[in-house]
Amino acid sequence: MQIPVDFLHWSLAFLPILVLAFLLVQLRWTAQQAGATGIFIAAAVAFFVFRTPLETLAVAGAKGVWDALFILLVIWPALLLYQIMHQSGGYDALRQGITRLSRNELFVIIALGWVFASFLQGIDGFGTPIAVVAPLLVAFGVRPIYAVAIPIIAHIWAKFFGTLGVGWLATLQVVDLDEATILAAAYQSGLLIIIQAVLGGFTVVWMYGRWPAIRHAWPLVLIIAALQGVGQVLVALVDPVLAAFIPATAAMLALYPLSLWPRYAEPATDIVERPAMLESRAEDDVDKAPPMGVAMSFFPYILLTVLALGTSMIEPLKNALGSITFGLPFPEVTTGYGNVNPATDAYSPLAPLTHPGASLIITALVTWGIYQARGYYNTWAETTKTRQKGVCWGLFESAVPASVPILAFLVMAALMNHSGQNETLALGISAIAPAYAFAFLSNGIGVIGAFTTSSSTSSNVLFSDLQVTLARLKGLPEATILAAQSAGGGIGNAIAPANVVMGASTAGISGQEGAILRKTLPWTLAAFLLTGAATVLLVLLVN
Amino acid sequence: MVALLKSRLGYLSVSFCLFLVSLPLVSAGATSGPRVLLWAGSAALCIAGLIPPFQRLLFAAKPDPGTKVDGENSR
Repeated sequence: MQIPVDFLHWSLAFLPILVLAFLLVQLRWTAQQAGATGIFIAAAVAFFVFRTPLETLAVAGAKGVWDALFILLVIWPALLLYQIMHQSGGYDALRQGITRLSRNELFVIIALGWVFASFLQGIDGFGTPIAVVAPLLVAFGVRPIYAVAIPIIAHIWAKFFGTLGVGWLATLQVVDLDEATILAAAYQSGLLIIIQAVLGGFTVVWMYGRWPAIRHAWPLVLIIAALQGVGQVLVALVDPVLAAFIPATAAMLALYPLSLWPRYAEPATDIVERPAMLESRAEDDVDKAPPMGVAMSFFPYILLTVLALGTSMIEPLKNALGSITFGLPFPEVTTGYGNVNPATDAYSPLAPLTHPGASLIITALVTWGIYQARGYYNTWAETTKTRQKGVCWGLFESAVPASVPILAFLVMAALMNHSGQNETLALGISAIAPAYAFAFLSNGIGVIGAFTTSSSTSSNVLFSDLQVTLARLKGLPEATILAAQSAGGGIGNAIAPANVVMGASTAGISGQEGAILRKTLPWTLAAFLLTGAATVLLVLLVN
Repeated sequence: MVALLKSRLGYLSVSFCLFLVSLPLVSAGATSGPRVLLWAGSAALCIAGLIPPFQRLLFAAKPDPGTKVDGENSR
């Protein structure tokens, strides 16, 4: 029996997403409450409309919990590092060091929020750039809402080819294409993703200081976007696995000569309105000397970079660490419409030692030990005249509220996937859209996939094969539609609830996820529309 | 029970633990273990998901009138 694709089923399949967005953005429910409600909406639609048995729902829910562990393994160590830095005065030392990079505030925000976040995405993933950069921006004096929204938007361009090509490699696993089409898909993905680099850079600058900031920073944005976006296209033609890492590193290296440019070495006096910045931060802490030097405050980030690079790029080490994997068994489950998920002895095996969380845990523990040995915690408590709550309690207090919504979102995503709701959404868009309209909307399917699963890789795994099949049926170039799916999978991450929750928790504003979404949603819509138009253009050129 | 539901960290911790507990129970119950584990895991999953919205409906905190909701002035 075929999965039904009609308006009623499509609307009901879309209902969990709609309710989730409405609860978060309109009613301002917390992510915990909205995400958990989404589980029951998705389960009810699955059970009553998509003929999904209870056992399938239970297995899907458990797989969702397992999927969430991959993200929790980043959140918990990232929040541990946050507590270590926060309670030792590390962020205050870091803020002083960052200020020395350039006297131009906007340059520093671009360097941290865009360039450094993108660099981290090139080697790590699972939200690491957001978890690491958001508290750094808060320490620099950026309002927490913006401190989360900026890295979320700015690192999107590195999603598909990032984490040393994980998204790209996962996509190749699920599609059956010839070499020429694969090369064309890599090239066209890179072309579409240039939109994300340019739009991301300008959005960061706009958030900082509106039009005066754009007038001030447009050369800087164009240079960095060209290095990242065009660089990615060029490297993708040679080795897609390094397509995000190399240009992201080039942009990092370019920061030094750019910081010497007088335009960005001195403060921008013509930017008066700065909605992203806290007014009082610098004055508040002016008399509080942090207990450590700048080098020591940068130590964890240097160690993290070294560890992440080592475990990703030294092949024998990567293979040895990656050989240890484990996963839980699950049986074959089906739905009344014949949607089958096969049995597996180890579902989505986790390699704990090569997971980005491992680098973060080692970084956090080593930093904790060094800071403790040097007495930074006591000194900082005396300086600030506050009684610290302790690293472990601080971690527990922040990580539990961050973990529940991520578990809820991933359970909801697994329920939608196992019941065939995601497939109905994609097939429904295809059914009503003529060929060129489908080309325009195809990146939207990627956006939906990333929104529901909070992962661009998962979006591609879910929808890439379907998109290629639909492209064939509609006579569209397969490589272009696959590129649109890949670009959309990245774009959807800007509103992916798990990313927003992760950023909110590390910026200390848990519960304000809706406010962050209101900042990232306009960018997502703009990126979707521009990518849609560019996809149609590519189809016209290819045809 | 009421005290637990009024403590944000308390009810979220229970929800968190129940989510995690459901995973091995469902896996074992659906494959090699007794079927009762599957339903125990399903129940844990359901209760874990019910707690946050249930808490909101029963004990929703009133927003502080002096606080900006989007938190742009916080912290």
